[in-house]
Amino acid sequence: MSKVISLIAVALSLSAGLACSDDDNKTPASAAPGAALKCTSSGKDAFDTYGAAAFVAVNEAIVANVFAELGANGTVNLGDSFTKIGTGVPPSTTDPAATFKGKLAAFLVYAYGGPTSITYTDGVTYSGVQDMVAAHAGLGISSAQFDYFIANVVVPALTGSGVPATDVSSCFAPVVTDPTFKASIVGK
Amino acid sequence: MTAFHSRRPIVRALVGLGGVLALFVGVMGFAHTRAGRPLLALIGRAVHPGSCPLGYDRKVTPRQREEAASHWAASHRGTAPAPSRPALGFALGQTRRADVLAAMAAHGVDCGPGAAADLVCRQVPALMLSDTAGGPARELWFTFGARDQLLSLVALSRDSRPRAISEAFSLVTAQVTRAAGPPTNQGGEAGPAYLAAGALRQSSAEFRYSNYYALARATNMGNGYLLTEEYRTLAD
Repeated sequence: MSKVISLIAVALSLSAGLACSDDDNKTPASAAPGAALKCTSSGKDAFDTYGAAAFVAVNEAIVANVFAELGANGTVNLGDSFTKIGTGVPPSTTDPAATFKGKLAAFLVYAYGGPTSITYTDGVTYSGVQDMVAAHAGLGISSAQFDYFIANVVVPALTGSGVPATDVSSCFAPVVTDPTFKASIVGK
Repeated sequence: MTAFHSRRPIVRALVGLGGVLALFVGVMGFAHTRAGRPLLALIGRAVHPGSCPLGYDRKVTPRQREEAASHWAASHRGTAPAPSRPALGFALGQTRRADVLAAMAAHGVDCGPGAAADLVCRQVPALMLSDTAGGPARELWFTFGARDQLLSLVALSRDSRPRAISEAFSLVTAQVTRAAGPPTNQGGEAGPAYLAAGALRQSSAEFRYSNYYALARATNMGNGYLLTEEYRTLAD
């Protein structure tokens, strides 16, 4: 029950942040990689289909899955990039964990057709327009680790949050399976 | 007036504490810049030799890995024991690093310490894993415990054809079911048509037992198909 209340609270918090956003803040259709994608279930982009609460849930699920994975396997499957968050070594990991989570949420919201910035559950405003190459510089993420992350962390976070497989394929998958997107993260 | 005098030492203490904290943050921030690396190394040698002073980049010892796995097991354990614990022909809790290296060397497979895994073996033919392991060649990630015993095995295999990965998924699921018992959770649908219907389509089967955990997950990665297998011994 407390988990439900907590989820509602964070959803309301994010919604409030988004509500405070200027309409001009809404991603132009041509700018965000996922804004032009239409979910099978709705014919609209992912953000318009699922809204702020679902994006909070997915973001929290991704982070929870990462911690579960690190708890189970250490850095074996995902590599050590997530364990470097907040250390500043390499410099792309300077942000503390809370900032990392907020930035991830902002990126997801922006990438899938939402506003260019959001106020996350910690009350801080984050920009979703981010340089993926700079964000992953020095981490040395391998192709196998990236694939493992997508298949075993991101997709379960989506489906576990109630996104049907048809929508995962139609309006979420093209962004993260795009070779250019992968190339901006792997081997940096 | 009295109250003002009595608060002054507290205010001084708070200001002092704030100053110390600000100094600490400043020093640590500088230490993590390129120019501050020598300072970081100096602090690191004093706290955790040769590493980040906060210990984030420390190598996890096999003992710590076992403790983490035990903690994870508490939330992923099933109720009934599995009569057998299949892991692509390796014996969970028994196979040792030297056994793996010898078996792989005998088939000309190269293994080495991965970026983060204990041991990574690439392009391992399915036929050398067990008599019944089918599917494409696998990349194997091994994790060993404090007694050098096999704690977990993750296998990744890729193919451009949905049928190859779908059949490998069905084979793995059937083998684990025969040896350990039926899956406790399933997702998606088996079959190449379901996988091929869109990117990030998944078929999954999870096996949670009191002494064993296994997972098979076939994923359409957009530019090919990926099968993830995970086999894990669950400590008491």
